[in-house]
Amino acid sequence: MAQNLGDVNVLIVEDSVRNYALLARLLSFMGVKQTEWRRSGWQVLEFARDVLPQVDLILLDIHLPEEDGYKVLARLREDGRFRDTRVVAVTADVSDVNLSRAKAVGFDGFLAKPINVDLFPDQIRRILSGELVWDLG
Amino acid sequence: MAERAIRAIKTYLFSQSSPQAFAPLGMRGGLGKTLLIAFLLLAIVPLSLLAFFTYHQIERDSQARLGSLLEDVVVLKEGDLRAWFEARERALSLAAVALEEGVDSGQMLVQTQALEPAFVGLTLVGLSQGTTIASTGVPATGAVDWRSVGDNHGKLVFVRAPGGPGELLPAIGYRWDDRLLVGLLSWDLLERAISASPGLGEGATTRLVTEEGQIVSQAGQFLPSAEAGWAPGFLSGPHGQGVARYPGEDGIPVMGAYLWSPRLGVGIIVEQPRNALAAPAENLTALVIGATLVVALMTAAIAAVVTRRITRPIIQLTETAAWMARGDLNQRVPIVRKDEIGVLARVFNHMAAELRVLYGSLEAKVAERTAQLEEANRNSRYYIMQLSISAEVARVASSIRELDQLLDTVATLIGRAFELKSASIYLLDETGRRAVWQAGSAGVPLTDRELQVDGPSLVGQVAAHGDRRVLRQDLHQEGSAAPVACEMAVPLCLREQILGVLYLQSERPEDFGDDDQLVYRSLADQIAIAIENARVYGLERETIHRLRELDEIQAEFLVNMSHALRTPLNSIIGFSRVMLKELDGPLSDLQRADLETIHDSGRQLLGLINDMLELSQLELGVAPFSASEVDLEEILEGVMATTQALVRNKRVRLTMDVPVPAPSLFTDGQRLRQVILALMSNAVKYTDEGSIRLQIAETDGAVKISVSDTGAGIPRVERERIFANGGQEEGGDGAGGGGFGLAISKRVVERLGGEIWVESEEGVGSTFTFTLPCDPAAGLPARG
Repeated sequence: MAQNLGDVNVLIVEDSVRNYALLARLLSFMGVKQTEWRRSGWQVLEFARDVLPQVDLILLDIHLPEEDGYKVLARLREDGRFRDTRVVAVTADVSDVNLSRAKAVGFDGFLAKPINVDLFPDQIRRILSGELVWDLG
Repeated sequence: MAERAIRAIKTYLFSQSSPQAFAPLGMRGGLGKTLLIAFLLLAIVPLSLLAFFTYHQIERDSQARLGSLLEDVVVLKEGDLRAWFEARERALSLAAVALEEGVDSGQMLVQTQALEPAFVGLTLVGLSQGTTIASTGVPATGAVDWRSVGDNHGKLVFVRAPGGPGELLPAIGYRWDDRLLVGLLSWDLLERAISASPGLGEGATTRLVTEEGQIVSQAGQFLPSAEAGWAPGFLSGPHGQGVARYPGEDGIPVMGAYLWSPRLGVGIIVEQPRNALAAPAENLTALVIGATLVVALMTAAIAAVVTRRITRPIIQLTETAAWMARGDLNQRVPIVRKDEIGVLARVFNHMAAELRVLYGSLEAKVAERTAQLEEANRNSRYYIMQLSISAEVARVASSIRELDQLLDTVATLIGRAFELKSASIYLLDETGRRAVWQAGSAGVPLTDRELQVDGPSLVGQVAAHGDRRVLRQDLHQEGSAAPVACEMAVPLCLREQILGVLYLQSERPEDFGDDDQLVYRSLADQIAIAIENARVYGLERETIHRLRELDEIQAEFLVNMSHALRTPLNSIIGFSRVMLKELDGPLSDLQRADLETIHDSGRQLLGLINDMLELSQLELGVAPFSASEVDLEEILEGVMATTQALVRNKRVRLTMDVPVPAPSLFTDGQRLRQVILALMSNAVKYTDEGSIRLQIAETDGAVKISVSDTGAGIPRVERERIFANGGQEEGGDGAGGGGFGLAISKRVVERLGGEIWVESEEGVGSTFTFTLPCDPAAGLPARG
C-alpha cells in the first residue's frame, strides 16, 4: 500500500459538509492530495471509480441518509473494486454497542466524532499501514 | 307410727322413677329405723341385764339356802338313824345278856324277833368255829360271811342276803366272848326311820353309803361311787361332809348333802332335785322378764312417738329438698316449731327462697344468653356466608383483571351462592344517564339491556338515588318458569360515586331481609372496589405501556440528540484545535486564549453530552455491563497515573493504600475504573492543596474502596443530593469533569451490587466510599 501520503486517495462519505471540511483539511495538512467527498453510500458505489483511479481509504460516517454506514460497508465489501480499500467508521455514535458492531462487520477502524485533531494524523497513518485503530474518543 | 312413717318413705322412694335424682336420699328410710332400734336397745339391754343379774342372785341365794337346809336335814337324819340303830342294838344286847345267862338260844332269838319287828332275822354265830349256833327269821346260810359283821360289830353293816345275789340287808352285830349275835334289819323300817325329811319338798331322797363309797339300797348295790359323777364332787373322803350339785339318778340336776356317821360306819346322803326348790326364783324371773317386756314395749311406743317427732320434719325437709332437686323451687317446709328443727326448717325455707330468686334470675339470664347466642349464631352464619362469598369475590377480583370477565364471574358466583333466580350487574355509561347491563347469572339481560337512570325500573331508580331498594310482589317474569317473589337492587358505590347497580331476583319471598341486605351491601362494596381495581388496572397497564414507549422515545431522543450535538461539536472542537495548532497560520496571544476557551468549552460540552447519554442508559438499564476477573492493581495504577496528570498544577499529594496481595474481584473492570476515576477526579476538582488518599480494604465478601481528600468538604444539605443527577455541577471549569460523575458512579456501583456514600466535614475534607461484592454480582453477565 502506498505509504506516500501524496499518492493516497481518500474518499470521505459524510452528510455534513462541515465535517467533510474538517477531515479534508486535516488530511490535506497531512499531505493527502486526493480527497473525494460523497454524501451517501449510493454515490460511492455509483461514482467512486469514475473519479478516482483507486480508493485507498474510505472514511465512512455511520449515520447517513438513505442507508446507514453498515449497509454501505456491506455493499462495498460485495463490490470487487473496493477489495483492498481500508474502510474506517467515523461516527458520533460512540457507544460500545456501535464499536462492537463495527468490529464485527469488518470495519478497519473506528474514529469517534468529534475528531481528536491531535491524534488524527497518526491514526490515519496507522490505518494506512494496515493497523486496526479503534478510538471511542 | 314409726313403721308407718318408714313404710310411707319406702313407698315414696320406690315409686320414684328417676333413681339418680334421689340417690342421696337412700338414707331416708334408715333414720327412723335407726332411732327406733337405738331406743329399743337402750330400753331392753339394761332391763335384760338387770333381770339376768336378779335371777342369778335369787337362784344363788336359794341354792345356798337349800344347801344349808340339806346339811341340817342330814344331821337330823343321822341323829334319827343313830337313835333307831341304838334301840335295836340295845335289844340285841339284852338278848345277848339273856343268852349268856343260859337261856335257850333258839327260843331267845324267836322271842327277841317277836319283841322287835325291825329284825327280819337273827343269827347266833360261834366265831371260833365259824358255825351258826342258832338262827331265826331269814335263814342264815353259810354263804354269809359273818366275820365281816363281827369285825364291825356295833356298826351298821350290809350283808348279802342269802335269797339272791343282788340283795343287801342291813345288819347289826353284837359280839361278846366268842359269840356274835347278828340282827338282820328290815329295809322298810330302816328307811322309814330316815325317810322323814322335814323342810324338804317332794322328791327328797335319803341314801346310805358304805365306807367304800358304795351306795346301798334295798334293791341292792346302787351306782358304784367311782362311776358316779356326783360322788367325788362332795365326798372329800368317806369320812367327810359337804354339799354338792350334780346330775341325779334320772339325769335331773339335784343338790345333795353328805354326812359320815362314825358311830354307825355309814355315810348319809340327802338329795333334793334342784328344780323343786328353784320355783320361787323362776317365778321371780318370769316376773322380771315380763316386766322387761312390758317396759320394752312401752319404750318402743314412746320411742316411736319421739322418733316420729324427730324424723317427720326431717322427712318433710328431705322431701322438700328432693322436690327442689327436681327443680320445683316453690316447695316450702311446713314446720312451725321452736326447737332446732324449727330453726333448720326456717333456714331451709329462707335458703329455698333465696335459691328461687337466684334460680329465677339465672333462668332469665340463661334465656337472655341463649337468645343472644342464637342471634350471634345467626349473625355468624351470615357473617361466614358473607366472608366466604366475599373471599371468593376478592379472589376473583384479584385474579381476573378483565372487567367483563370479572363481572361475569362475580354475577354467576352470587347467583349460585345465594341460590337466586338471577344476579345481574349494570354499569353506568360515560354520560351517567343510562345503566347498561354488563353481566348476569342468567347469561342474558332479563330487563332491557339499557335502562334509563331515574327511569321507572328498579335499577334505574337505584342508579339515580344510590340507595338499595327491595320490591316484593308476585311478579311473573314473562317467559320464565318460576315466579319471582322479590327483587332487590343494590347500588355499586365507590367514594359516594355510583358506578352501577347489582340487581337480584329471588323466588323465595323471605329473601332480602335486613341481614341479607347487609351482606349484599358488603358484596356490592367489594364489587365496586373490584370494578375500580379492574379499571385502575386497565389504566395502569396502559400507563405502563405508554411509559415504556416514552422511555424508548427518550432513549432514542437522547441518542439522536447526542449525535446531533456531536456533529456541530465536531466542527467547534476540530476547527478550534486546527487553529490552535496554527495550521491556518500564526495566532496572536489574544486569539490563542479565545480559541482555547472555545476549544475547552466544546470539550466540556462534549463531556456533558457523554455523561448525560451514559446516565440515561444506566437509568434505562441498557448500559452494557460484563464481569470478569479483575486485575485491581493494574486498574489502580492506571487511575493513579491519570490522576497524577490532573494534579500536575496543584500542590496536592496523592497516596494509595492497597493491601498486598490486592483483593481479587470478579466484576466489570471498566466500570470499576470509571467509578474510581470519577471519585478521584471529583476529589481533585475540589482540592487545591493538601492530599488525596485512595484506600482499598477487604471486608468479608466485599471490597471497600474509599477516596479521601482534604478539600473544602460538602455542606450537609448538599450531601443528600450529591449523587443525584448533576448534583455537584458548578459551572465546571475543571478539565473535562462533567457534573454527572458522581451520579453515574452511584448507578454503576449499585448496578455492580455495591453501595456508595459520602462522609464529609466542611473545611476538613470529604471521603467517598463504595463497596463491591467480591463475587459476581447478580445479573451481571460474565465476559466471555
